[in-house]
Amino acid sequence: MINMGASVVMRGIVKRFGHVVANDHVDFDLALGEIHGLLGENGSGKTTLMSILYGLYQPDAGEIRVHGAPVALRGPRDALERGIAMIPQQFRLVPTLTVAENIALGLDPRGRPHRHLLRDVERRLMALSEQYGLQIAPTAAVGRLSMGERQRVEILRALYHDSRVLLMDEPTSVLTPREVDRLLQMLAAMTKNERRSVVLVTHKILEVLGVADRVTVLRQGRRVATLGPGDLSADALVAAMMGQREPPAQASWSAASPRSARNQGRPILEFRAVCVSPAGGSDLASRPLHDVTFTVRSGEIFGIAGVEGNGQRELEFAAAGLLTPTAGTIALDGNGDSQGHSGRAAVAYIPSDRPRWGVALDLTVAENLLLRHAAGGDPWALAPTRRPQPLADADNAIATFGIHPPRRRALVRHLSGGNGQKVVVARELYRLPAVVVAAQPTAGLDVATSTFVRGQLRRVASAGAAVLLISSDLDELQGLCDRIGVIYQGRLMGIWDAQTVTRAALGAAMAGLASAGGDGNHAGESPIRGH
Amino acid sequence: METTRANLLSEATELRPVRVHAVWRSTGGVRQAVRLAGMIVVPLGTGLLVGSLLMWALGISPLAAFRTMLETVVGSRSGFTDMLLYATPLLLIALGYGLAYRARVWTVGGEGQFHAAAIAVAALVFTLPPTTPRLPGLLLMLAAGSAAGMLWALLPGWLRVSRQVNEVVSTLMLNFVGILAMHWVIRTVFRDPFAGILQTPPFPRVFDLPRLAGTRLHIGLIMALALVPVLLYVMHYSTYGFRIKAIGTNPWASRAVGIRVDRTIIMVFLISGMLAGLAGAVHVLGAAHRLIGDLSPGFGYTAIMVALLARCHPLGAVPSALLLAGLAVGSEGIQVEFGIPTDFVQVFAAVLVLCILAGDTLIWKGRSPS
Amino acid sequence: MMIDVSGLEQLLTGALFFASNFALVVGLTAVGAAINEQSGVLNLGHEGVMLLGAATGFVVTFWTESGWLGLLAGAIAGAGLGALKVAWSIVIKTEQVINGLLLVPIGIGLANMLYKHQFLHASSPPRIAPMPTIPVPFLHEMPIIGPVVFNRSAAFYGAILLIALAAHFLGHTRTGMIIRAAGESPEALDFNGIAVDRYRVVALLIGTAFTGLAGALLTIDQVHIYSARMTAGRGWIAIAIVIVGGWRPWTCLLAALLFGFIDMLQFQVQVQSAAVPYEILLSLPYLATIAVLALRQGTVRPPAALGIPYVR
Repeated sequence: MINMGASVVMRGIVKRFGHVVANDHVDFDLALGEIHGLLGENGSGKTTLMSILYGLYQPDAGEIRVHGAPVALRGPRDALERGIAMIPQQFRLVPTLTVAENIALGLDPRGRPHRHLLRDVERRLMALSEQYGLQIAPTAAVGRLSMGERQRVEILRALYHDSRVLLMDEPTSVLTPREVDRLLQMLAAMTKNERRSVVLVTHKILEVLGVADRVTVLRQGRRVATLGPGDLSADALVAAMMGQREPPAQASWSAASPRSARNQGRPILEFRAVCVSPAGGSDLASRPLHDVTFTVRSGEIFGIAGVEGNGQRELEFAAAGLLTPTAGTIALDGNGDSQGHSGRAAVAYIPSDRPRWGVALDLTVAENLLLRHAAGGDPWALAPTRRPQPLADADNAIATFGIHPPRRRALVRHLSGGNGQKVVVARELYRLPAVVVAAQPTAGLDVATSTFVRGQLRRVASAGAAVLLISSDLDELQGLCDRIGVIYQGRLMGIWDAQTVTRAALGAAMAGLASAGGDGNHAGESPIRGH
Repeated sequence: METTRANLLSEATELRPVRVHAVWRSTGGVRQAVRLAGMIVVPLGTGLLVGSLLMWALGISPLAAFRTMLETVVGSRSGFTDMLLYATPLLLIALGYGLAYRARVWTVGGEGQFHAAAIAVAALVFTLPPTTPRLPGLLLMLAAGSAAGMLWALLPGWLRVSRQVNEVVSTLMLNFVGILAMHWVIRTVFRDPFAGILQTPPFPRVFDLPRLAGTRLHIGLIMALALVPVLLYVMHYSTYGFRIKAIGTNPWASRAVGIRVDRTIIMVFLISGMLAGLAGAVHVLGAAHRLIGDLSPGFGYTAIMVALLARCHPLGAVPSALLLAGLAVGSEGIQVEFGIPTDFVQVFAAVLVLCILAGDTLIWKGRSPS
Repeated sequence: MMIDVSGLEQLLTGALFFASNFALVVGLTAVGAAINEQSGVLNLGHEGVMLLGAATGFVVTFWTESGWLGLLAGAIAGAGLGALKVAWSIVIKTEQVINGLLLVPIGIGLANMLYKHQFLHASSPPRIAPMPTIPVPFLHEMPIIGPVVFNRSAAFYGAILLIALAAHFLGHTRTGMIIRAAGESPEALDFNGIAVDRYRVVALLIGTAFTGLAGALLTIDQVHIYSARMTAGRGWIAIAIVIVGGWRPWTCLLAALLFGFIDMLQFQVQVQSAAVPYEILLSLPYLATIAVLALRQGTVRPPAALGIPYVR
């Protein structure tokens, strides 16, 4: 059924952004009537590859064929004309326009009056939504629709163009479980009955296993495997996705410092039945957290594993003191209610969104390194900034953390991503903090910088810091952490000893399958019993 | 006022290669100096060119016109004094704007704060007994003026942090309200019954600001100049100034490191309001000596140009204020001599600022708002 | 004192006449501003653009003795300043707050210089002939409404028609739809392969042309002379009206009408020196704007991308 002709063939696709190679000679085949999973960690290049196929980026090298004919896709219009449609992760819909108007935006009116065009769009939308069971009112303003409904609009847009190839970027991340089932059913129907092809970009292993005919795995911009019906299994996918790391690296990780004796330090950072609700009024909460309870002790690195979009961002913001829980408490060093300023000042924070929360791109390296000085306690803070000591500290930090270029006055905007991250790490970890919240601290970094950042986390932990490490890199978590908690749909599925837990157990919990619950305190546990 | 940028595209923007001018920057001070000169000379040249063209279009020799202007301003003692009197409130208001713009608080509310202060000062002048000792009385009035300016800035500040109301619109609207409030006060409470126009009786002489030896200049000029190094220190050398800069550059990262962003923004509103209020107080007590319908020739608006010409730097605000004040006073000379309206200097000044804006954005790239 | 009915009617008619004049000029400007802002470009320079339109319209009508040419010239002059704003807001992408405010001194300066250049040696302020009134059959005989609405010049009717066209343009044409999308979610437009900046340029030029036309309407159809301060803050009130009117043409006109009544009322109060301070009436538009912004609940809100240059 699969090998009945290629729909899209991509050969040797290369795409660079500055010094970073996002796609490194990637080959990708999409057969007619198949659902093809595209799997990979953050920054593995899957979104870039799909953007190239949709004409948003032009590849630096490589060839694309659609239905056998080589094509140059200079923009989304080119792609749409060749029957390729994209359903992006962040919907590209105008909330103030109606469903029909949003569809009409992408149509060429060919001189037809707008009114007629809209009427035709509405009529065809009705027909399409009936045909595919996607109930949607064409005259409803998109801003009033739920996320699931907006996705339906995006899918309808693709069907409206009668696109034969649908590129879906993380389509299930915004859906409720019920909506996910319906979506996957519909995709299966579309491919089997109508011979459309679907690329499912995701990092949810179980999801692709359920629906995909084949799965291609990308890792660090390269294609590492394409698995077909014969060899498609969760284990194989996990192995390909996480990669078999070279033994020396693995060894150097765990051997460099003996893990701190866990559970011996004082409890420093405690989450007690923390709940966050997206309706709670903060724009930082887009997903809920339910009864999250855990304790990070002095000298311990506590990891949070999970598939992206299961509440890690909310957990990160709450731990950093930026997001006030709607229920429960976050205690710092035994003091409840850490929310607010005292918490923020006391927590060393390496955010996942560096350009927004981590550095000020248009300040210099020195200014970014000294940013915490600006938060000083007294309201007027009229003390001079350019005291010799902080500046010497800054120079010292630049040297010890190997920030390049080693100039105090370079704008962080002109630094590479890795050096930008070093600035954050240097600022936050230079003074041996008591609490560290690090979220995806090595995402998108090269190997050397990643190793360096991990070494720094280990250094502060062995000096007595309580480190909360949120990461989607399982190797990183297993290499660094004493204990690992898995988060799934805003709940902690369990807490495991990092040295004894198996990858399969973590993977199952990340997919929401675990009932084992780990060997520490876990989600089902009542917050009262835990402490 | 910010959009989430396209996820698909964020990789590209984040990983942009090191810019060419970064290399240029690194070649040292000489280039810096050349560029700085270029950033002043080019806008000034363009402004002069446009001004000359306009005058030429009106059939007036630009050379003669500029000479007349220069003569008006520096050729006579009274012209020079007028310029300094005009520059005083401009400088004070622009110092506050400069501070606010650095925090990316786009207040344009100096005009309203100026008038609010004028009301407060007049209220004190007409209620305090004439026997009030001079110095405490004056100090009280200056304090009241500053406080009134702060009060006028508090509402837009509070609305911005608590209700996300755009401060450009709210401060602009309050400018008109401030002027109307002063008109109302003059008309109903303190009106000079013998005057044909909307004004109060002159203030008692005791409440004149001290003058500078033998001139019409008042101590407000000294106060404004004295505030320049103070603002310079606060903005560029103190932790507080660093905090403001950090907030202006990236409010999110500032929040993440524990800066109290909302509180600092309110403080910025209050400081700029206080300075505009002080400007109103010294202008009323030192130069106008009464409230009058058109008390301000748009000080609050011209000061925006002063602050931008100075690139929000306190030291730059002094020559910028003098330049725009000189243009305003000098253009009156042109009006007398050639009969063309004074507004043309406004065109000249605005073109100047446009050139500065364009130059900064083109050369200094990468400082997009949001 | 007794006021006979015809006297009251006359008073009311006169008052409404002035209110409608005010509302039309301010409303036309507000519609222009709304088109600007719907596309995501913040333009605070309407006061200057309007005065330049007024001066240009006056001068052209004075020399050509054609009101229509004057109106056209006013619109073109407005769009000319709009082109300057295009360069600074969309091409160079400098801060929109500032480059818009700078249009005010530039517009006012150019307007007054143009006027002075043309009439440097005029001994008395030159005057232009009013455009002829065209009574609408039957309707103009209605009491009060008749003379206010149905016995006006072609320019008056044309301006109302233009607002209707603008409402249709924004709400029911493809270009209007794209302009709205450009102010709300430019990245969605980009995703559909539509050039955001191109439509913002179109919106900016149309909007400033409306404002210039409003200025020309003020001199040519209403006042018949030009004076240096004749716009008297109408351009600023228009910015307020866009907000109160929720960025929609018809509600903008309605808000303009309301403010026109208030303006007329304060004039009456001022003349008859009534107990209500007229300054309070004059502040109402400004205070209402702040209140609308502070109390807005979901539905009435500025375009999401207002004032933010689009960079991919």
